[in-house]
Parts: sequence; structure tokens; C-alpha cells
Amino acid sequence: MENLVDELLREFWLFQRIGSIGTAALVMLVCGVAVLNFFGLIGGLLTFFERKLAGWTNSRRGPNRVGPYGLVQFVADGLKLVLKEDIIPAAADRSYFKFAPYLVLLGTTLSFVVIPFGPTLIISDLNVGVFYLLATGSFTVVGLIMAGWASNNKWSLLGGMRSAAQIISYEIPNALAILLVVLMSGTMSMQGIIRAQAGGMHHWFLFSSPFSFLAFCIYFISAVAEINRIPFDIPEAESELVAGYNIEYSGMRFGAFFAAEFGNIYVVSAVAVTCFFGGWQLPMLGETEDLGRVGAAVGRFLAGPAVLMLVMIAAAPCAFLAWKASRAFIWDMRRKRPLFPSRFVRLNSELLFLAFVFASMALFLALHLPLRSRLPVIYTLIFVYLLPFLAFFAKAMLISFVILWWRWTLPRLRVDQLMGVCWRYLIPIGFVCLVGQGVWLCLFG
Amino acid sequence: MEAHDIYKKIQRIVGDGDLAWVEEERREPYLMVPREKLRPLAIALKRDQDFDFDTLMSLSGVHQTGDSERMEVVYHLFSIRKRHRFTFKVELDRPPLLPHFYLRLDTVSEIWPAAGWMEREIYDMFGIHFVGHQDFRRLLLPPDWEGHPLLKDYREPEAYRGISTTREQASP
Amino acid sequence: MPLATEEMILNMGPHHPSTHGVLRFILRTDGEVIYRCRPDVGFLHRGLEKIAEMVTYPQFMPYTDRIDYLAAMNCNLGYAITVERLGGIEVPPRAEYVRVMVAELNRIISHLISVGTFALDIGAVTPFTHALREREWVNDLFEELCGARLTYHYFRFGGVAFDLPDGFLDRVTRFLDYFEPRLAQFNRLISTNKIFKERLVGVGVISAEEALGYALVGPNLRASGIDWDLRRDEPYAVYADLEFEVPVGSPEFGEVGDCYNRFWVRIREMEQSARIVRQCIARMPEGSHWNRSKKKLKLPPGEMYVRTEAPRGELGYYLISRGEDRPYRLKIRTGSFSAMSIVEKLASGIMVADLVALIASLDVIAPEIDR
Repeated sequence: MENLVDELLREFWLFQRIGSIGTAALVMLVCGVAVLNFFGLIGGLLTFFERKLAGWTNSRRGPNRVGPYGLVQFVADGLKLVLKEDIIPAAADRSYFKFAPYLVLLGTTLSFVVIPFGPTLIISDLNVGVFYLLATGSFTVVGLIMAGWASNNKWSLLGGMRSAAQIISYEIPNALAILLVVLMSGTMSMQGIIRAQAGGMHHWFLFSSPFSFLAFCIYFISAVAEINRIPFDIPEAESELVAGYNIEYSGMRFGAFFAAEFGNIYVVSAVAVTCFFGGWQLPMLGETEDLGRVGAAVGRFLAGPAVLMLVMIAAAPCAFLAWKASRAFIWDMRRKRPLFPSRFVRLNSELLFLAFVFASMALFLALHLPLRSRLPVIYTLIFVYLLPFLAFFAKAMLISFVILWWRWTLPRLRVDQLMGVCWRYLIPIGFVCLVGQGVWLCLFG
Repeated sequence: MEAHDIYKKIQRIVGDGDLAWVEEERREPYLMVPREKLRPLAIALKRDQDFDFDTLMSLSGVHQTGDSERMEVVYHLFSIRKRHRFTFKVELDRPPLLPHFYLRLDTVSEIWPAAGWMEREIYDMFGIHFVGHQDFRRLLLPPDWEGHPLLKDYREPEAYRGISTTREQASP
Repeated sequence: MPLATEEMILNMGPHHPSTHGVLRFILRTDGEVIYRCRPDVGFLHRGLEKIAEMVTYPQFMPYTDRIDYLAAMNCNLGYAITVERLGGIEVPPRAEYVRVMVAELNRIISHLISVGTFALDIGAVTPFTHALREREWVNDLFEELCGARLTYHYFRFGGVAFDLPDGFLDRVTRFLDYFEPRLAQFNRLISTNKIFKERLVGVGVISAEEALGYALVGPNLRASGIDWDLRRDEPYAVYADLEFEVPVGSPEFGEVGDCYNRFWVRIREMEQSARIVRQCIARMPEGSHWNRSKKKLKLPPGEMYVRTEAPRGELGYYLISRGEDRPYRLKIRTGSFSAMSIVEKLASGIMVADLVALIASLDVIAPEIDR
């Protein structure tokens, strides 16, 4: 981000007028808004995916009423939470009760500052990146205890205490695994860790050595415990404590806890991807120059006449499907009402969605022909900027998927077993891994 | 062991006294026991090796009205190891004056822990006190309920804590 | 300065996601560990025994459905057998086989709910939904048979209310063919899961002596190692002619008498029930389904204690008749009653999470306790 500020100041006189502080503030505002929006979006989408996944695992469909394939469900849920009555128990400690969700949310959103979405897409590449992440993760604990205490409810107090004990304990194996990664990469900065895994999939820290593989397992388990997901969700165990520290919260205050939980899922997956899966790096390709070269090569390849013809032929079925989908949509609409949709008719949004998707695919493929001279440049841009972002996103989503999947498959551990796993298994194994990795590095460089 | 043989042996152990053996058609044979003999009989039935009644299948109260009004407490016992069952009853008078003074019986909950809750239920429904019970209070009804419902002359209270028990008041 | 921790009194109240029905526990805990747990029952007390004295024998049959609504056929069966024995009413052989078939199907679905909610209480949501999915098949079969999905009122004195529809037996066979692999899949999902075992093995151990003393019955008793099943040892209906095994708790599934054994006894019982249903289908005789008498039913004076094996244990009906058309006294003895009475004794010294597992493993259901 500092580079962006400097660049803006150099290039555009508008920002020179505003001054460096003004520019920095503006850039921070824009980045903050962008990332918070991303956090909100990803939190919501993860709730949607979880419900769909839950549905399919439980041999039923997930939400499929609101929007095409139920995609707008999370917006409806968010809206509902915002519009709900704000109930604070009469005997609750009002100021702590109101403040607690903010702390929990803070813990999550602060982590987004160092998440590397792409080679240059990071708000601030702190040189203590992972250390900063471990620190901000601790805000959550204070918020949870505050919530449990301020609710004036013994069950939520119990939940808050359990949660605090759990999160604090699991920060240790978390830190040990990250320490191993720092040992291997030599830097705490997120982008530095990613660049240390350059050169192909076998350089990813996941596959580097057996100790780092173990470190990934330790990290993953303790991360799931940090975010209070099954099998470690005893603080919010539904069947025992109703909702743990969440019991008395309603409306958007609960929404804050909820969004923080799902945002945390993404953060934790993102950190796992950064530390062990090579971050935004694509398996075969390396740094920006490679990406640029490959992008240009792909662009030139697609601009060749034979391939271009194939691409245009491929656009035809997409256009055909788009046309079919829109025909089906209009037929469906006409079947229900003669002319126009009225408020009594439910639009078949899935057909509209499919029509849109196919039409955009067709448009994308069709645009190859008029833009064939600029294809190398376009593909360079795609490969350098878009593809790493998509790679990172896909990898993080894959790991989030595993976390979501665990919730619907596994039972939960009792609180003393949970602590036992941490202190008696993960921490000793973590230390062994750390020492072993040091030895490995000495032996094999 | 057959029920009659069990009765014979009981006579030898507990003494003949006021035991009455009833064997009628369409009834399982049972033994009528006076309340003083309840504890020694229960202990004998549990501990004696030939009897070995380890399970108290059911403990019921009955309010017999008719010629003479009395309460009965019926014990159905079973032995899983010996595969035989036995029934005995204790009769209690229910005089019209101070009935609760007479409706007392020794508890068997130290002998068969299952009787703990069963006796509480009988107290709840019939008003029979069990002397020596560890945790003696009503089981199913609220602690401040008046009356014992399964008695034949039970009348529902008009209201419970201000809530009417009849339907007429409930409708607007 | 001495370190003092205060006791916390928690109310695991009537509205609670994990208690099976409307149950209330007052816990005195030291944080996680329970010092004492007092169950407070009676929220579902409907005075069934008093009602029995007021309505006639056939009129009471629907009330028996509601004693244990998850196993309504078995409750009906017990009551029907009691009245038939006292009144000397004959039941035609087809009705006997139909009775056993529906009772065993009901046992399967009652155990499905039991293990499903057990898994749900331990935190696994998916097995519960899968169990409900299997249950839907049988609900549909029963709806076809008698019109109801939960409280069937299918039994009558002298037989069953409706004859089997055409093709019913084929559909039941199809269900069984579908169910047995699904049960294996269920086991792969949750029953052999390491975390599940960690939660349950060695928790809430009930020794055989304790189980007998507190008059536990049914799967709870068998899981404590006592090999007793009324269907095999005091046969009624046509169980004497059928072949089935009785699963008993074994060290193979954790400690004998712990929660894990109670879970596995129910799973294995489901397999055996499927076997029984297949035998009933194979041997189903032709004939009438209801030996109906036109006279108003008046039982001769007498009294009898008849017990049958319901999914939650022995269901005993102690019926005293004085020669009228309604019972003089009907006492219903249920398995959940005894199971609930042992909770207080077992609960001291365990953690709250273990209490939840214990109650789930005992498979208590509130209407059986309260009647």
C-alpha cells in the first residue's frame, strides 16, 4: 500500500494537491472499504455454502428459495438480523454487552490487513505479518469472555469460560506451527513466506518435509479450535448450552458474532494457504515475470487463426444455451402471467441466472475475435493480476470447504478432551516438529 | 420356584402371623402381608438365595372402595437369575378421620433402589407415606399441589395458583 | 489466602435442545463438574392412569399411543394383550403376525430416533437427519396401513383394525432391503467414529447390580451385561416361533454398561428387528385380521400384570378389573421411569457434557416418565 501511495503522489497532480497524508488517508479508506466489503461478502457466502453443504450432507437441499439457487439467502439473513429488535436483558451489564461483539469483530477484521490476495494485492505487507495475525487473534478471547459475563446468564458464562480456555490454549500449537513456517522461510512477512515457496508445488511448505506436513496438520487442527468449529465447538454447543456465549444476543449484535465466525474461517484458511500451500502461486508458474511471459504466450497462442476459430466455435454453444435459458425463462413467465411479471408471480431466477452466466461466457469468448491484436496484453494482465487472486481464492475456499465439511460429519469433543488434545498431543508434537525441522534444514539446506 | 412354594418358605422365614395367601381365577396368586411384616419379608425376598428377587418390577397403589375402604400397595417382584415372580400386597386402612396418620408404610428403597421413585409416585397419587425414604417429596405434581389424584374420592381443586382448572373461564 | 470456588446452580430447564422431551434438571456444579443433579419431572403428566378409570377399555387404546409416542404400536400391543388375557379373547393368527411385524418395525424407527438424537447430542448433526430419512419410509408405510404417522391406534381387542393393503408386504421388503445397507453406512459415519467413542466409552457406567437394583429394563439392562429379553424369555404373541438374537453389552464395545454399549445394543437390535420382520413376512398366514365381537366389552373381575418388550424396555400394565366395562385401576410401568431414577445417582462427579451423553444413552422419553 505504501507503494501505491507513492505512485499516486508521483503520477497524479490531484493527489499532490491533497498532500501525502491526505492521499494516504484516502487510499486507506478505499482499501479498508474494499476489504471490509470482501469480508462481508465472503462471510455471507460462506454461510450460504455451509447451509448448502449441510443440506446436501443431510440428504436435503439447502436454501433454494431466495434468489437463483438460494444465492441471495445470506443477504436476506443479514437484512433480517439488521431489522430485528435489539433485546438487552434487563440485568445485563449494558456497556460490556454492547462492546463485546465489536471486539470479536475487530479480531477478525484486523486480520484482513495482512492477507495476501495477490502478488501486490495486500493492504500492508508488514514485516511481522504472521506475528501480527497471532496477536489480533487474541482480541476474540476478550470479546467472548466479555459477552459471556455481560449476558448475566450462567450458561453463557460457562460458554464464555470454556471458549476462553480453548482459544488461549490452542494459540500455542498455532504459534508453533507458524514458527516452523517462519523458520523455513526466514521471514515473518506474508508475501515473503509465499515467495519462499516459489518454484512449483514441491516447494510448497506442505510437501517440503515430513515435519512441515505435520505442522500443517497441527496448524489446521488448532485453527479449527481457534474459531470454535466442530469438533471443538463446545463453547457454543447447541445441544448443551443452547448457544453458549451467544444466548442473549439477538439482531445485529448476534450478526456480528456470526459474521466474525465465518470471516474467521476464511482468515484461517487464507493463512493456511499462505503458509503451506504457496499462497497465490500457481503450481507451475513462479513470479510475476513468469506469469507475464506465460500470459503473453497464451495470448499469442489464442490469437493464432486456427485456435481463434475454435474459440469462436466454442462461443456458439454458450450463446445457444444462453438463448435457450432466456427462452425458457420467458416461457415460464408467460405461462404464469400473460405479459409482464407481477408481484404475484415468482420469477424463475435460476433460469435467469443461467442465462446470464452463459451469456457472459459467450461474450467473453466472442470478444477474442475483435480484440485479437491485443490478446497478449489482455492475457498478460489476466495472468499477472487475476489468476493469482483466483488461485489464492480457490485454495482458501478448498480449505474452508474442509472446515465446513467437518462440522456436519464429526461429533464434538468434551472440554477436557479438547484441552487434552491441545496440551498433551499438539504441543509436544509441535515442539518435536520444530526441532526436527531445524535439524532437517541443517542437513538438507 | 412356584409361587405356592415361595409362600411356604416365606411362612417358615417370617412366621405365619397374619399372612394370607390368595389364589383365585384370573388373578396371579398373591400374598397379603400386614404392614409390620413388610420389611422382614422384603429383606428375606431379596437376600435369600432361593428367592433372589433382584428386581422390583412394579410398585402400585390401589384405592379399594366398596364394602370397606382400604388402600393397597402392590409389590410385583421378579428374579432374573431364578426366573420366578412373586406378588404381595400390603393393606392399609383409610379411616375417614386423620387418614394420613394411618397411611404409613416402611420404605423398601434401601432394598430395591427402584422403589425410590415408585414410592414417591405412590405418595404423589395416593398420599401414602413411606417412612425412612431418603428423598421423600412429590414426583409428578408440583410440590404445592393439594390432594392426591388417584384416590377415588379426589376432587380437583378449583384453581391452582390463581389459574382456573375448568374450561369455562378460559374462553373469552 | 485459601482459594475458594463457589458452587453454581444451573437449571437445565424444560426448554432445552438436548433433553428428550420436557425434562428439567437442577444441577449443582463446580464449573464443569456436577456435584448433584436433581431431575424434576412431571411436565408431561396427563393423568393417564386416572383417565383409564373413567373411559372404557376400547376408549383407552388411543391413550396408550401417547404413553410412548415413538413406539406407539408396542404400547398398544401391551395393552391389547393385557385385556385379551384377562378377558380370554382370542386373536387370529394373521393378526398375531401383523402385530409382531408392526411392533418390530416400530422398534426400528424408535431406535432410529434414539440413536439419531444421541448422535445429535454429541454434536453430529448428520446422523440424525439420516435416521429421520430412514424413518420416513416406515412412516409412509404406517400411514398406508392405518392412516397415522405417529400415534397409530392400530390395535384392537381381538386383532388389528385394518388388514394389510395390497402389495404392502412387498413394500416392507423393499424398505428392509434399503435399510440394512443404510444401517451399515450409518455405522461407518458415526458409530465407529473415534471422537464418538472418546465421548462415550467408559462414561456413565452402570454395573449389572445397579441396573437390577434400579429396575432398568430393555436395552439399558442388556447393555449392562444382563441377558434378558421378554420377547425371548417370556414370549407373547408369536415371538416363540421366531428366530432372533438378543444383543447384550460386551467389552468389545467399550466397558460393559457404559453409554457406548447402550448405543450399540440399540444398533444391533435394529438389525435383529429387521430379521424378525422378514420372518413375519415369510410366514404371514391368511385369514381374518380382527376377531371382532359385537358385544360391549366387559371384563370379568380379576387382576393381572402383563409385560411386553417395548423399545424402551419393559412396559407393564397392571390391570384390576371389577367386572365393569372400564378398568378399576390401570397402572402403567414404563422403562424410562426407572432410567430416569438412576440419573441422580450416576450424575455426581461427571461433567455436564457427560450428563447430556448419559441422558441420551438411557433413551428416556418424557411422556413415559410422566404418563
